[in-house]
Amino acid sequence: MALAPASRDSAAHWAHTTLPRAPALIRFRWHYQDERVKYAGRGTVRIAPPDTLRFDYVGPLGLGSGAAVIIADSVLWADPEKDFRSLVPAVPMLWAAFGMVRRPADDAAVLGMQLVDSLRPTRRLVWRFAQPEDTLDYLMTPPDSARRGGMLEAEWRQRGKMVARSWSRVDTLAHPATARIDFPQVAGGARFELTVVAYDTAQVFAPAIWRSRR
Amino acid sequence: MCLGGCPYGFQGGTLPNVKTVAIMPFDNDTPEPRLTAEVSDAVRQALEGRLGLRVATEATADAIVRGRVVRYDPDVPQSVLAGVGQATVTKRKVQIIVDVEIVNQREGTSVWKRQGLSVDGDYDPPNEQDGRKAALAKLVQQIVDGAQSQW
Repeated sequence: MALAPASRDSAAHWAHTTLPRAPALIRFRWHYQDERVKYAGRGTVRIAPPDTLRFDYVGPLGLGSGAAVIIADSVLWADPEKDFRSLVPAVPMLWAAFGMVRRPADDAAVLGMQLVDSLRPTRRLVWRFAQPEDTLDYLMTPPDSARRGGMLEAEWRQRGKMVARSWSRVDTLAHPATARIDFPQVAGGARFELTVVAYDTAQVFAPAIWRSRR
Repeated sequence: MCLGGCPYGFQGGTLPNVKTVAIMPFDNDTPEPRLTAEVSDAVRQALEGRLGLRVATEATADAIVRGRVVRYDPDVPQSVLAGVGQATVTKRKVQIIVDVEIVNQREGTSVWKRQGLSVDGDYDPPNEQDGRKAALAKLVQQIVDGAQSQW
């Protein structure tokens, strides 16, 4: 399957269509496991389009909690930093877990193609954003008129080696439903799964949520 | 004297028709992420340790507790020592404001709700954690008092 060079503007436009149009609060349950540990808990993500996200999580039985604010592909702050980094090693994969895509980086080569599926009326989209060291591949199957949800698959490779791969199901409104991210490079393999329990667009976000104390 | 007739007092009872509760993580509108767990823990202490309710899963609980940590002020000056050309704050307090609601899942009714519940705790700088502990202890007490007043 050969990808052809594609317009950066088209890629940016497509990425933009995956984002919510209004502020959204997403509540979810999560589960993380690698060969040493298994954790589960709950979390919320508050998204202020087009590029800002606050991620809050609570550990098992309410033990331990943390948060982070992300702007585009950068972590503005994370507290505790170490816990967040182990839970979310790659920011683009966090966006992808919620069915959203960040626009390609300025130095990324953009390639893409459309796949026509004989079983579904929708066309699937393939995009590759290739930077010198990092490559992000996306395969989007949009929700269709037959009331079937869609899927966003993402793969992150660093220097040719796969670091993470995600599968994110979205519902018929393109809201995130479930996601799984695999990290094959973690010893024994690690997996992060989430299930969305609520998607709320009526929330008003307090300005304080974006600030860091430290 | 009032053992038989007092409407209040420690009875180890529960909220009407509520024996089990699920505590949802509170939304956190503050820049202090640890409060999510600490406030949930305080709520758990109030409901399980003081009101005798059992914590259960969301799917099976009679009621769910949900809420929001609305505001956290970590360093409100309480006592100031005046000096030449400068003043030293010798005591500060933390202030936490939360919204709490207990919803009876079976009946779909709100059992108890309090918005803007404000608690504070003094501390000697820089021991903010002491102030937070004191404030959270007050939160436990306020939830117990508030819930008992509904019986």
